[in-house]
Amino acid sequence: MKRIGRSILSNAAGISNFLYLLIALLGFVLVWYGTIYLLSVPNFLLPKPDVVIREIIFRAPLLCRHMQVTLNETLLGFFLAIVVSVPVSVAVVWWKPVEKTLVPIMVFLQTVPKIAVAPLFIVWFGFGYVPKILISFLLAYFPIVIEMITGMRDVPFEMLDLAKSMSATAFQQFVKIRIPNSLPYFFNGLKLGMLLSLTGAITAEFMGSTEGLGYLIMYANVRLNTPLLFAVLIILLILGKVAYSVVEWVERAAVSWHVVFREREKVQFTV
Amino acid sequence: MASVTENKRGKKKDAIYPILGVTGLLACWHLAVVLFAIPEYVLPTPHVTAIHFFQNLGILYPNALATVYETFAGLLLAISFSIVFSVIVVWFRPIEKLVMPVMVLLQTTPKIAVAPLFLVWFGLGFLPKIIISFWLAYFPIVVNMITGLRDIHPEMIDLSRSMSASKLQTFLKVRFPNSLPYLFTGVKLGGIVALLGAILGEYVGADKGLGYLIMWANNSYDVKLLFSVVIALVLIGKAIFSIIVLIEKHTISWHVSARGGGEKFFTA
Repeated sequence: MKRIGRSILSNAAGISNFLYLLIALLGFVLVWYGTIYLLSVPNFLLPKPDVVIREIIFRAPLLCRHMQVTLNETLLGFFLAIVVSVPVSVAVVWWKPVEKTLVPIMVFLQTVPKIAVAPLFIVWFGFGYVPKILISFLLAYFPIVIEMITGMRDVPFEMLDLAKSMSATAFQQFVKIRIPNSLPYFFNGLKLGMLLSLTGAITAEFMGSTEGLGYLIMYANVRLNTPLLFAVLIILLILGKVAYSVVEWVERAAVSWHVVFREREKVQFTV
Repeated sequence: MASVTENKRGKKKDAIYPILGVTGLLACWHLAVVLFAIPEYVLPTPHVTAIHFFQNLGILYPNALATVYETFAGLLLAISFSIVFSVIVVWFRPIEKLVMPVMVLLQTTPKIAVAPLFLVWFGLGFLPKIIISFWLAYFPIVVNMITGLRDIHPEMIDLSRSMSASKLQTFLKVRFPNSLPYLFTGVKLGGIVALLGAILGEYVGADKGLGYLIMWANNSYDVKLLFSVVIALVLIGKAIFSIIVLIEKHTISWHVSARGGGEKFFTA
């Protein structure tokens, strides 16, 4: 996975690529308009771009209120995932038996559709915030913990030998070598975890809620208010981008010293 | 990367630990239900759950068939589309420059959010679920395939050029074989994600399928049925993944990656 996407993203950097993005988006909007005019598509199937923009502006207070809810759930789930996965990954790397017990189970759970248990959380915890936060947490937890474990393990053995030859204690090796080494991996997990916790919050809101952007999507969908649906989708596009960029920005501030950071660019796959 | 999964291929006696872990978990589950007197409609004991899974097989089977059908249709659609698309993108640079930034932008958005829209457009039948599966599976497959077509040792290209191979020949004999391991990585991720897409599509609106069954069980507070469906989904997810791995091992047995392990798959 580490190699995947590097060559693509390295092409997607720079100002000329921003221009290409603008051209592509412009073309996209033109095709959008063209389809509507040529096939005379009604607004409830595919609204015109200007209708969507008007919807965003006029419904701004509504959108903001629901965005606030989704954002709260996403961030709480995300931070819960960090708080849980850091101690777990340290325990896994520190004690062999813990590793041998937990890691196979986590590897197994990796390919399991975790969204499937989401309704269970709604049965157990009702329609409030709690199930959404827990689903966000569940989705964000795995990338963070597994990346963190990998990072603490993928230490060049010369570094550990050096530390040992300087008679560093196991604890010192951990704090001075393993933890710093894990940071770039950790941030990779965080980036993916952030996107997945947003996905989790929205999916949970699909299933049963009274507020949030996922609720708003279902609300608009049932009433065939497609302009509102598109408005929410655009808000989500921006929200995802901003959340991702914030984590990226923190990463740049925190581990800019790391050589991995300079050469590694990854495309994150989310749903 | 390999270090996380290396246990799987490790010594036989290490298998005792996860077995102990799972047994401990089941024991805790059972004890918690018995000690706190949790009613069956909130959390059934493990053995009740297992018994109900087998009793529910009759309901599960036709619904599982629908979900599997949607998943495979979406996945195959995604594979064929992304192979064609990635060949076009790698062959013509300007198209790549136009399309890639948009795809990178879409990578960071929650793509399941458009699922309800597909239901408005394509109704409540199989079609919207297949399209949602396709839509989720398409991205990991196409991005991996493009990377595979591109990440080539320059010596290989130089060699084929020095043998005066045409562009088409270079493509068929060098680039395409090189992309296959990447393609399979994408398809493995895509397979899981396609299953997710089918379930989510069924959540939003359907009259059959495991996702529909989950919603139905949820609305009627039938936690035992819910657990049965979750078990079925775990098994189906594992089966799809194993089938893809099997095909990979047979198709590109010559490649290092076919020896297994190493990849990480984070999905929802």
